[in-house]
Amino acid sequence: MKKVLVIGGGMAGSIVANGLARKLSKELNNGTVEITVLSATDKHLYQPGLLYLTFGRVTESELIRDQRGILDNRIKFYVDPATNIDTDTKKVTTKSGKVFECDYMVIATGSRLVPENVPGLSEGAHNFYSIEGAKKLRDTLKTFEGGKVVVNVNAPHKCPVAPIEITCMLHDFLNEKGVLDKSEIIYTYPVGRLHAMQPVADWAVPEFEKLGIKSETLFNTKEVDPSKKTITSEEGVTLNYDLLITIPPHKGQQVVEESIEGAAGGWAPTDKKKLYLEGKTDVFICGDTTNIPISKAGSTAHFEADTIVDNISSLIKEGTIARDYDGKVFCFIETGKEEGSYVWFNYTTPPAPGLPTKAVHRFKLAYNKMYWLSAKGML
Amino acid sequence: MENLKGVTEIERFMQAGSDALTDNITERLATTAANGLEAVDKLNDEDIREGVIKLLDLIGNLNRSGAIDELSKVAEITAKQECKGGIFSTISMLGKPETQRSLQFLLNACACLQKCK
Ligand SMILES: Cc1cc2nc3c(=O)[nH]c(=O)nc-3n(C[C@H](O)[C@H](O)[C@H](O)COP(=O)(O)OP(=O)(O)OC[C@H]3O[C@@H](n4cnc5c(N)ncnc54)[C@H](O)[C@@H]3O)c2cc1C
Repeated sequence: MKKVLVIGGGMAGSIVANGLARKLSKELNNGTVEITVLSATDKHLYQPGLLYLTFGRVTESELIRDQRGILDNRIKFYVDPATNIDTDTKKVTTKSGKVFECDYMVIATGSRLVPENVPGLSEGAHNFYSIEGAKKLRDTLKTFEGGKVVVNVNAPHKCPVAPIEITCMLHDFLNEKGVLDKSEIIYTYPVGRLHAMQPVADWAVPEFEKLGIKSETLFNTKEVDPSKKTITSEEGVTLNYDLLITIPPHKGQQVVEESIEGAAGGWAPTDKKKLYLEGKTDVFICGDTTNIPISKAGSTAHFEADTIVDNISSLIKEGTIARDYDGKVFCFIETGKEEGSYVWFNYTTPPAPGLPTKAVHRFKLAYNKMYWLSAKGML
Repeated sequence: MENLKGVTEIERFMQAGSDALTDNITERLATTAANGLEAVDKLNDEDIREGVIKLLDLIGNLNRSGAIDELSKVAEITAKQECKGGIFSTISMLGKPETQRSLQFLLNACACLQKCK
């Protein structure tokens, strides 16, 4: 019997496990293959929906489902986080002390937010990157009567376009609330332009100008003083704020950082095409956990997962790898409350975002509702 | 000219569709489509597909034989019947041939299900 162990029950882990259950359905039924998923929680959160929770467009319950219900019922599922991952022996030790052995391993543990890496950031800034954070910001926005809002972007961060989206949506929200003329929105970014990707940065300039959004680029956050309501950069710029919204920095999981050689910052060294852990052909890395220098996005996780599904099932059935990952990333960009654009790119094609339209915005809303089909390995 | 008119009409039709939609309608439609697909996706499981086909055949047979109509009549009759309660009325009911046949059916069904894994 071939055993596949997936560590992590988020976007990447769920799509891999369900995709394998589809491709190896016969083998699962006749007991020649076993798929197990380990996760840190029994819930599955659709993280991109947090943006909409912030503006009261969706409720918490619409973004969360039971993880067990998302997985094919033939997949074994344990809420028992990995505490040590031995990629040589392919043995994983968990918090409860159990040891899981496997023939193929997929590490998809995502990342963790580390706002505490910047002094004062956790205390002084709102962040919508968690359920609690998004709800707190939503409640603050409800009573916000205008003022200086700083949208502060830190690196590295999850989702390449969420900072632009929250900024544009905030503009429309304040406008609708009738407090835009009493407000000022300032967007800070760590490199010397509006976005790490030059074409996206060039595209964002007129979009921000249109909305009157100011920016402070080359702004690497040094500290926040919540009592004085100031935020200061390493470059020596200090901004006052009435409301500070941060896109917090993130790191890979501690278990990856501690168990895997060369996993600096918790990002596992990954072959950018085959997606296996460098030097190991039966340990795959998927989603935010890789150290591939592309966006940490759900779509990245999705496209990588599809490749891994094809490769593991091909290895089990035919003894050979099936295909390469081409580096594809696709992101919708909400450019306000009613219009959206999108961007896609891969290892050879640079991004080229188009003009925002209502249709693309609606497409994103529709996708949000259809996400669960992706998690189930159908879309 | 005719062609151009056609294109403009299609464009206006699409525009009308887009203007008539709201975010909420889009989300409701997408949710319905997603839920529908989620249910239909179950048919990709061979066992479920075979089971559903057998069930559909069974429903067809039951309908042809009039059993479904009879069942709905039974439900109606039962709803109207008064239940007196008490051990004697239960014993008299057990003495009726149709009750015995029904119990026989249930016992047979249970025996068959017992054989399943
Ligand atoms: C506000 C916000 C907006 C976003 N918007 C978009 C967007 O518009 N488009 C887009 O493409 N992406 C977007 N993203 C990014 C996207 O959500 C992530 O990139 C994606 O979830 C990554 O998937 P993953 O499976 O790698 O990690 P996750 O989905 O985070 O899953 C990691 C899983 O690993 C589990 N885990 C953690 N530690 C352990 C352990 N020790 N043992 C076992 N399991 C463990 C966790 O419980 C979790 O289930 C957004 C993210 C946020 C926060």
